Amino acid sequence: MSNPPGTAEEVANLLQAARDADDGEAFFSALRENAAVVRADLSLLTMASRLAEPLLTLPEPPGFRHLNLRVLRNATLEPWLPHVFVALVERAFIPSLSLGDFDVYEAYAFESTEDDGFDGLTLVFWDSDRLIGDSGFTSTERDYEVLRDRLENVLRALALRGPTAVCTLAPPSVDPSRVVTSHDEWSWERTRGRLNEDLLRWASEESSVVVLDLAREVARFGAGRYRDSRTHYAYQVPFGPEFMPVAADALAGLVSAVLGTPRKCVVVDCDNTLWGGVLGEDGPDGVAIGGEYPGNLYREFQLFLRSLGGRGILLALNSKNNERDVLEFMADSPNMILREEHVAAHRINWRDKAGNLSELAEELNIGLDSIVFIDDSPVECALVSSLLPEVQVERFPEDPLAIPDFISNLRGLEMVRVTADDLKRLASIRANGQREVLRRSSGDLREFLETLDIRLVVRRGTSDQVARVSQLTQRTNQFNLTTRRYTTSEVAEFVDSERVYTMSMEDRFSDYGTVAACILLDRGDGGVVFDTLLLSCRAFGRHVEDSFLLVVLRDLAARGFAWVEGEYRPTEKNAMVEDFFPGRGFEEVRVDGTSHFFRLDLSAGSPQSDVFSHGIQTEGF
Amino acid sequence: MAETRDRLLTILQRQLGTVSTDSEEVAAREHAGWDSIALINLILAIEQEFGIVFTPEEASIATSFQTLLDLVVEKAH
Repeated sequence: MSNPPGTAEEVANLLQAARDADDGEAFFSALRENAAVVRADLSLLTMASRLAEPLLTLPEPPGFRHLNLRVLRNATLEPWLPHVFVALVERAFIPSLSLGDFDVYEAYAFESTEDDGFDGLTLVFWDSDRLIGDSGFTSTERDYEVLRDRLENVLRALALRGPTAVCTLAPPSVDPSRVVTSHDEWSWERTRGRLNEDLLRWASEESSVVVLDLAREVARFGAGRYRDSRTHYAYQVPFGPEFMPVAADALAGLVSAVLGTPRKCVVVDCDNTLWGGVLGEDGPDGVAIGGEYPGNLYREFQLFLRSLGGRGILLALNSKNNERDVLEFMADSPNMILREEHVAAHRINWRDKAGNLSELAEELNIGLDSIVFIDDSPVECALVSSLLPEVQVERFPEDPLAIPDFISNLRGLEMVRVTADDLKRLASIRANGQREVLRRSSGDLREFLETLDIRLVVRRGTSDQVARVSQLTQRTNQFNLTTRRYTTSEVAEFVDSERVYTMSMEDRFSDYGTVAACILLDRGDGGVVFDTLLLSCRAFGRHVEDSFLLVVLRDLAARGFAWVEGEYRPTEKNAMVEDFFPGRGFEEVRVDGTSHFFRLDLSAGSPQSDVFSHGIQTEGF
Repeated sequence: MAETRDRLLTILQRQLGTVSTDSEEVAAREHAGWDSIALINLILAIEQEFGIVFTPEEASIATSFQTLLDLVVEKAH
């Protein structure tokens, strides 16, 4: 939810004024707030990306992140870039976009394996007409294999150079074999399907490759209308004007999933959202949910919400209702898809929803900026937007027929990979309730922690932990000493050079998976620095951070390091750890910019500590 | 005619920055930002603004403000 958009002329004036004042914050904030207006006017769209150019190198305004995106292509993508630019700004990126020369992606991939200084994401776009139609493909298995090997080689070479996104192949304009037979095993269309399967498989094998499933977007949009014959054949532009913003938004969603901070929890209203009608007035038999219209549309929404659990995203309820009515309906109605066990937490009462959301965030140990709130009431949406601007507010449609589109267009929940730890989070959050009961019955914290039977495993980082460590750096904000975000390929490099430690945790209620990680920089003079040290919010309050630090320090001492430095780089969210190092015997030695550095001498031998008596194992030491 | 001219000028200015319309002969090639790629977005933006469609042949001769204006006037009326 944002302020009411201005007219195109007002927005143009706003952007021009910000540009004239060299005010990056005003420019990108105005563009983000008015992205819908800008997208709807092609001249304004181009103007926005043109005016932004000199502002791209200014320091990041609060809430925005710089992003370098390079596009390798075999088609004319210049007209698409302004759409990409605005879609990325809408997701709080400040994008510097560059296009590789037309059709030279292979030269770029194989030319040199040396670092070319590019620090960002490379997108590979192959237009299927040019790739299949123009490549001499004559519909044989041999042709397919040649093409497959060519693409695989390019992709694997690019993967060595850094994070790479590749688009699946959209349908070609013309498939000659379709005219002849519908069962041609090596038709262009079936070849495209095979190649797309190959792309998805390669991406699953290469941690630095992700897939932009453009073919899926085309299928949703309409395979017969995603191109515009005139721009395609006259200028080799692969997308028609109407599909350009769709493809740009899909790319921005992927970038956001790779580099941004994804939302962790969806909080939904109940009446006219989970079901049609008002439970308290219409009664359990009067609300719409089930196999018939319009209940089947609400059922569709519930199926979607239930599926979020499979992606590690929490679900919570925030409803003005009688709690007992809702919980009984969820338990008893044969038509309900969602049951209480699918819900991590709920606030079903008559209090204001903003206050309820704050309580839910506290209970679930997540930030308000991790929440997507869905409600049909414009008043509730406005209230939450106004009081809790960090929350992503989505107004649920009044018309049930608009529900499928609402689901398809819901942003902020994109994930590149779902790790086993994502799924464990759900179980651990649900166990929180039981844990709270136990905590209240145990007066002493030490006694309480001991009853949890916490078991920790500290490891030197291994390749199978790369995705989770990268995810932790992207998602952890509060207990994060430096808040440096790393991609999987960057983490893979750290792991290769033995600079990563992780810790997983279990207690008598659940297995939390990997909850802590640190990345160390070898200073080369007998010392190491904590470049990153973080703890997932799932493990807060258990004092396991002390156990983790102790094991890491002991291993560093055993590896012969004489001293270790800890860095604290303050952000808006990590004040809770500002005293972490000084509170553990580290002494402040210097300040560099906003960072404070603390040192601990390891030469006296292994550090001792009065940590809680968690069961600690080590692996890989 | 004057209104059409102003609307067209607004589009060109947004797309390309400052645009001179003093002379009919201010050709596309003399404007740094006006190349064949920029022309694609320009044509699409003009089509959107005026609700018209150019053929590729018409787009290819749109090399100055005046020729664009003539085309728009011809198609829009």
